[in-house]
Amino acid sequence: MKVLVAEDEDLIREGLVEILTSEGYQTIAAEDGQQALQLFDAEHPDFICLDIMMPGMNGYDVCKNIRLQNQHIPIIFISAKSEEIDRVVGLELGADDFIMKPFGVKEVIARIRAVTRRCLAHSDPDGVQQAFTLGDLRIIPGELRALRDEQTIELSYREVNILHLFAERPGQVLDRDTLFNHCWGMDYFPSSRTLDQHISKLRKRIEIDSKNPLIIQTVHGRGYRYNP
Amino acid sequence: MHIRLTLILAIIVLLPVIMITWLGYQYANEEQAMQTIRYNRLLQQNLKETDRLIQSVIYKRERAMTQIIASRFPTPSDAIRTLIRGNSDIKNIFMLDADKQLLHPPALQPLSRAEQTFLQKTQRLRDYLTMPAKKQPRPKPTTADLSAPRTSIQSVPKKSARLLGLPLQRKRARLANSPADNESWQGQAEQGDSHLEQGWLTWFWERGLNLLYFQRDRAGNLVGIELDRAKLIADIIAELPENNGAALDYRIALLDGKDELIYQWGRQPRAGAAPLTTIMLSAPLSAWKLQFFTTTPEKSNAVYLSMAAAATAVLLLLTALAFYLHRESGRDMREARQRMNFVNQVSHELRTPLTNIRMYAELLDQELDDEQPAVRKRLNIIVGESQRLSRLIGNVLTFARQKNRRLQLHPQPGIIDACIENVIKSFSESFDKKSITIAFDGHAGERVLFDGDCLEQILNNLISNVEKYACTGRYLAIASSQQQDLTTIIIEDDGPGISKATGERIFHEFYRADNSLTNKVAGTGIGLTIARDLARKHQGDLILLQSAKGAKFQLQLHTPKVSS
Repeated sequence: MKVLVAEDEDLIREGLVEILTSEGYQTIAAEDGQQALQLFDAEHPDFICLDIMMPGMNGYDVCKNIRLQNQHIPIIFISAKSEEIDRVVGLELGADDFIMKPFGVKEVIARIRAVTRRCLAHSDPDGVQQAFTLGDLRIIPGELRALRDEQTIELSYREVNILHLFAERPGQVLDRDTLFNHCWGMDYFPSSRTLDQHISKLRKRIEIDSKNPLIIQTVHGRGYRYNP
Repeated sequence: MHIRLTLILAIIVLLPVIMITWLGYQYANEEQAMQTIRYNRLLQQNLKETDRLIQSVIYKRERAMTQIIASRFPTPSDAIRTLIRGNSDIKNIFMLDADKQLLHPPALQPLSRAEQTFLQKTQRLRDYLTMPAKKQPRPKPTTADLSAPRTSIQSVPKKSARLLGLPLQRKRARLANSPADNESWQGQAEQGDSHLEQGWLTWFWERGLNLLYFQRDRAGNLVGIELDRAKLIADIIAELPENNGAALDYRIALLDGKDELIYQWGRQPRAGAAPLTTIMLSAPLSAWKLQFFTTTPEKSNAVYLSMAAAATAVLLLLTALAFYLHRESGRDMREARQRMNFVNQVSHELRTPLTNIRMYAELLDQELDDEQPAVRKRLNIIVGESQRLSRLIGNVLTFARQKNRRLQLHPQPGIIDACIENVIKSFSESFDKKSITIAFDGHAGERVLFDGDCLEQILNNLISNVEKYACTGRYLAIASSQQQDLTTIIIEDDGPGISKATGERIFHEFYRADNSLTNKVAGTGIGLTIARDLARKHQGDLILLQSAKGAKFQLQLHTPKVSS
């Protein structure tokens, strides 16, 4: 899933890109409104994170231009402008959500996941991405959620993809390259530590005992495996 | 806002001016009417003075005639004719004996033409005077009279001629003043008189009014003396002011019964000017009239001009005042806008680095292994402090908006308990650090309409106070409940509490309780003010409840249920 981030503040733009990437999204970044429109035409992103106060063309104008071409693409405004009227104007122009600075990473993630669910529901209205099971977990990709009995576990887009890959290849050892290629993209060159940390965090959430995992098992020296 | 202010100022200016103008116009009209009455009264007095002058001439004549008749009145006719020739005031005389027989002019002697005419024109007067008092008719022209030469007679007893009562004059003037024909007559006897002994008679004959004085002499003969009209008019004119018109700004005209001018003095009025006032002369000349003309404009506009000047002055004054107020108000609004823009700009500038601090601290936290608790602790401090700074900026902005009346709520469907849990979660790190236990008893799980940001800010301020001032109690209890469209949240701690003396003052802006605890902790004194303002904006309230230990706040919000 491709996300366009338009933000003139370098540090915030880079931070957002990092958050989105860690969630499993492919990101494209724009420094101003004009560039955002060009990237929107060229890259056809699945949703957009848009700052309001940008040099040249502000976020409202970018939103208006995008809405002329695409009525459905989700747009999240991210801004330090906190006046109620700013929020109302943004939502009136067709924004799907409004994140106010200073924001926390968890808040951004929660809102992006909510938008992703809407995207998935829109792109897969018939529920082709069927739910699947891994052990005692039932994973619903369209909702970015896993269910165990009455417990609901929130998942990132990437985590769903990782679990989906394990479910597709039960009993197979998935090495780092396979996992990276499928879940991070071909042009991503993470350190081996990144994958281990990611799997470790995923285990903490989906395993009953993360120190004795039953769903994602480590195959030393080779990779990870799901034993049904 | 600008248009409304302009309208209000316009009303403030125009209303008093319209009222002043209206009242001034009413006053001017009243004043004008009063002036007209006073002016007419003065004019009437002036004309009556003139009437008295004319009456003085008549009175002199009367005295002269009385002396002539009262002294040994000459007989026979030759002596009377000599008297007439020797007295320019007298035009002719008739004399009737006690038996009403004409003694003069003698009927059996040859008469001059003047005497013949005199007898002819006084025939009806003599008949009238010799008629018994009860039979004296109220004179009224008859059909036969209209064809015959007529004489208008007005008898004026001596007493009446001297006292000159106005109603009587007017009455008689109406009776006698109808000289459309060459001759007409009318007469009236004084009430109670059995017989007329002396008095004036007037009658019209040919060109004008004739005057006859009658009186009985010592021998009992009735003597009637016709005054010379020309000589009488000349004497009257001699008594009246000279016609040096330039000296006066008015004109008085004396007119006879046919409205022909006898004499006038004073400046010539403009052509076609109507007299300001007219009075009839006293008897026996009650057919004559005096008219007053003015050469100045009839109505003075001085009152209206004064009023207009006053209204204009008030209008200018109020306009100047309104302009001043408008400018001052505009300046205040500009300054308020500038302050608001400044606050917005500063907060925007603060939010950007704050976002970076918090975001990168959290990203760093995600990278940490569990084996680095000290680093994680420090990162949590950075995140916690950046959150505190965010709340502070939020409070300052809300306070500024409240001051500028730009604070608006945007209720959205949601669950109150979920919002409370989010706020509690944001404090969990710092509360853990201070070993404060949070107990949440949530019973507000229905989907209702409320402003989540507003509730978060209220709870942030209340819980932040517990963190700052009541951490020694190490306990915070939050309980929520819902009843119809009302959500109630109780926030209670085990800290030092709020003294009764402090009471409601804790909700006053910039108020900070003066004690050793608050002196040690930094604060702005606007947190509870904002919390209460927001609660009231949400059609609820925030109050301090009595509590045996610690502080206990009750927050109530109007939260309409959302139908599923």
